[in-house]
Amino acid sequence: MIDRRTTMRSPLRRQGGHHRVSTTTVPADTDLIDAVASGDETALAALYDRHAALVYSLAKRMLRSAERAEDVLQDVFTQVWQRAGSFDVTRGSVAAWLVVLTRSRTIDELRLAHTSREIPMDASGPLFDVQDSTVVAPDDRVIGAIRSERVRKAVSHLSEPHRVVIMLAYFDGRSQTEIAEIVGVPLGTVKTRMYHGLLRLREFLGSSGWEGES
Amino acid sequence: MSHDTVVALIAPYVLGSATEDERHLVDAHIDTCAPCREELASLAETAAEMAHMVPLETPPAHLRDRVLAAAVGAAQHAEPAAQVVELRPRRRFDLQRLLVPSLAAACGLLAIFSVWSSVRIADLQGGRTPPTVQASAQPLKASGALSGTTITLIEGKRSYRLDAKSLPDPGRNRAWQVWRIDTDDQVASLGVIEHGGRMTLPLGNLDGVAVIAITLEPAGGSKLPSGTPLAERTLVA
Repeated sequence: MIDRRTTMRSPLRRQGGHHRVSTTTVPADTDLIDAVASGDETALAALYDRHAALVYSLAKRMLRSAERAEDVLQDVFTQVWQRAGSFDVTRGSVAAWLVVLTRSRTIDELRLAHTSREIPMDASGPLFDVQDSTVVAPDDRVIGAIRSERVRKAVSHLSEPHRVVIMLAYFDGRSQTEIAEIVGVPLGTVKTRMYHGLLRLREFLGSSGWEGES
Repeated sequence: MSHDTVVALIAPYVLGSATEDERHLVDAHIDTCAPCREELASLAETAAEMAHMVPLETPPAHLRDRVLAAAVGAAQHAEPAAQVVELRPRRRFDLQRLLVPSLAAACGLLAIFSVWSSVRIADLQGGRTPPTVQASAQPLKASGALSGTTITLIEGKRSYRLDAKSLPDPGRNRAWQVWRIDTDDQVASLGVIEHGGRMTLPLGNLDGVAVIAITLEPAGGSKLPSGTPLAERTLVA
């Protein structure tokens, strides 16, 4: 994830800790996680400023509820605070971890509430209409719009069978068995489509030239 | 389990739709297979990118201080965790399984638990004032088989959940069961956990709940608690 910020703000900064974060540099996410693991509240605030919009937006879209998305946002950053010391960069970036935490918590909510969910069969449909959103700061809006367009374009390149199973799993939190029932194909076919769909998506994203996160 | 079989499970794993057994297979395999570990990390990044299909929306400004204050109010953990193993299988709470062997046994078990719960309710209503839940993350007081285990009650805006990073294995044919004891002495199950390790249990709204407690029960859970709680948390409105 590319970060354009140069400052951080935090009302929660406290003294002590082994990994202090400068307030005038642009630390990588991994540096911030190290600092959070040492109890640096400033670093947590910086991670919040950097990623809260992503966590909140994803949870809100999956839950169709701003209130419940707020709960997810709080839980995710509580988990970041509690578990920063266990973060392993060899298993993915900080942003990827946050997305996993968000989706995990959101799927819990979906199961708890037995929410009736639409099936986002088409990545270009209303669920992903960029025009209906109140987005973040101007710089981030531009970056976010470019990034969103790039990912949506990559997903649109997938064949419909691949796209459907991935979208049902990712944004609707459906199990493989549920997807097999919805789509009307054997479970093994769902697994195969997920795998080849993700490989294709990685290929499309890789060829579109976006830099990965530090 | 062959390498190719595990590779095919990586996609449902990172998309969060793998079953618990499949997740365990992948976890065990990637500990010893560097190529699969790299593939998992790579596809996890691809899956994470999909989140950016959703247009970014700023959370309400007032949330920032609330979220950060709640987060730093929680205890930090140092245990290792598999960060891409977070998504859990869909395990539905099965009321059909919450049956006691006999009515007599149930009455006996309820009597034991009632003594305990009445003491707790008396604590709430009497002169001894229990700790008030102020922060949004509160540890349960653990004892016995759960002694030394960190189990945290997390308060959201409208709902609660229980978190544990390293819950002990309940043992063969046994399960942890979470209970609510309401201020009117009513007791009800909130869920059954049949495994050790990481645990997250959504509890929903806890209005009217006086105490949250965990007991060790037969696999599948019990209709009523079978003994004194091994972990508990008193709630005060």
